[in-house]
Amino acid sequence: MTALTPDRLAQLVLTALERTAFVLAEPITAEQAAEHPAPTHFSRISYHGPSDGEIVLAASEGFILELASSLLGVEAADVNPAVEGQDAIKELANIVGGSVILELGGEDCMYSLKLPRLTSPAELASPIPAQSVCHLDSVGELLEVRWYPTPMAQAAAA
Amino acid sequence: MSCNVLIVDDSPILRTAIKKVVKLAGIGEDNIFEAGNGQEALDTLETVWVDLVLLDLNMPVMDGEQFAVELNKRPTLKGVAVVVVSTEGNKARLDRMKELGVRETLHKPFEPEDLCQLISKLLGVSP
Repeated sequence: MTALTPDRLAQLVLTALERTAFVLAEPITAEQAAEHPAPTHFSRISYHGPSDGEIVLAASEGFILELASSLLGVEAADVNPAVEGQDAIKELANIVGGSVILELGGEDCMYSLKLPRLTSPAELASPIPAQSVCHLDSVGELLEVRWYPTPMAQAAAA
Repeated sequence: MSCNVLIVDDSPILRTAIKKVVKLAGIGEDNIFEAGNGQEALDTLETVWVDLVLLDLNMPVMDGEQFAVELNKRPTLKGVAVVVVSTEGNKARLDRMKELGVRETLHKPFEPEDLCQLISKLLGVSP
């Protein structure tokens, strides 16, 4: 199985943010991330194919407002976090998931994505640590992305 | 010449983002239609002529592949140009979409310029 390093995962997410929403971000360390506003919005998407896995996103409120406002072309103050904000982080999971399966599967990719969904911190309590984690900063706001090469539910059942 | 474009995606925010690019390509606001899944897209196509469908694949209710199959069953709609705009990476599925008549595939995340050029090429419009 192709290994997805934290650096490569961060690069895939940065590209997704830039291309989709013109949001510029930069990788930061876990220690730096701890100084940022805590995540309040969570989404996840699983994929299946030669192996199954899952991507989880956690973002601070400000990050979600910036992402949604860029996608919509409106001011952040005009974004409703409970509607457009939630839609934005769900769609970002979808796009990052698509980049991850192409990275894992290459030109003859046999992976497919399931539908992205919103999730909660309680649901994200995992029996296994994520294989790769990256933290990104955008104007002082935080996005954390985790890659689980085994879906969390499957790991819990094992 | 005015061309109608139908954006089919279950994410309202992505439809809005794609709509911005379609407008940049020279398509007027009144010529852009939206649907949240394949069934809604078929319903739209029953009421308005569409020149180009920008189609997501992974959607609830009716996904993009089912939509393309249904489109092929309708003789009056078989000629509608369809471009897949999706995160789908599965080659077998994308090959099936080509067999169903899909003209092009644009993988998300895409450069807005790429979508603009695709629209210009398929519809002969310019910004």
